[in-house]
Amino acid sequence: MNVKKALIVLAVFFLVAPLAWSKGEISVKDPWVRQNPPGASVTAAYMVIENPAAAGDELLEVSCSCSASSSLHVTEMREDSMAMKKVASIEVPAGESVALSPGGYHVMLEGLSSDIKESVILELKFRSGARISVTAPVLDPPEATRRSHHHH
Amino acid sequence: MKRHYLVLTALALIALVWVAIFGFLGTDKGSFYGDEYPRPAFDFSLTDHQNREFSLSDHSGKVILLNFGFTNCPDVCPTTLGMLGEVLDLVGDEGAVALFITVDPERDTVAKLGVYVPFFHDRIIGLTGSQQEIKQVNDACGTFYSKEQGASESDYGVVHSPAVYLIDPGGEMMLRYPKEKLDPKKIAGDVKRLLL
Repeated sequence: MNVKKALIVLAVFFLVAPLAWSKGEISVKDPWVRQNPPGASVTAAYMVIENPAAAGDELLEVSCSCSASSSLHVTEMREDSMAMKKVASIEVPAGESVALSPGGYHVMLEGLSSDIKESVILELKFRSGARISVTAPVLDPPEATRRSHHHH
Repeated sequence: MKRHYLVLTALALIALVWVAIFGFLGTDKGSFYGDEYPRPAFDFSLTDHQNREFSLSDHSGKVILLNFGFTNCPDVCPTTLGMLGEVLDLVGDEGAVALFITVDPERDTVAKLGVYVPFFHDRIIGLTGSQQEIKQVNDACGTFYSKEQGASESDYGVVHSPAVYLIDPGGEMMLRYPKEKLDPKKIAGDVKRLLL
């Protein structure tokens, strides 16, 4: 009886332990920024945040030297209408990834300093204290649409 | 034993009804990708992004794809405009026109639309008008929009319908593509069928 219990405990330990030990760092995949159309001083940044760590984390801020201000938003449906809502943070649970993609979560960049071209640098700040800097390509709308379709 | 037969018969009957319903939907209504959206006939006149008067009735004979939005919208509006540009490329000829009607006429002047809209496609027409005119078009389409105030007077967003509406060559509102149905290939398929 006790041997059986011990075996089960051991089995569970070996199953769970690698999850705790393999805690990689939080990382950003496929970042991109939508090319702002002429006359528009706002645009959005998108990416996938992967958190292989054992502890959950929260994205608090994404800033860009290309814009006067930035905020985290989510696009919400309310019956037949669509609204953008500011969110204070975006949760990235342990072992999961969260996508910021068209029609969902996004970083709104406001007051673009000049026409953005080729790529911009995004600075991410997390609750855990982690800070990540990524280079995000600037994509044209048709290209961007295709990209968002791939992710769906 | 007898009860088993009753249950079996009931199940068989339910199955028959399902087959009948789906068979009917499949042959009759499954023909267009967009959701059927019949509305009373309407017309409107607004100002286009080249400062010319635009009347819906001047474009009968064409398939019209209508979308609401505003230029200060960073996410969904440009995604939809990019998608509409793809639809126009896929349809290929002059038989289809896409309209981008601003729900923010205060900030979206003719000049602003004039530089913004052609970026997506040269056959997308940007339209603006008075608040009252914009509201009338929304009412006719059965859509709703409202300003949502941000931190300051100039900082606001506009809640609006993300759907694309299709007006057939006879000028009748016919189909609606909600947010989850904004697929350029399938929408182009519907447009081509109507232009045959």
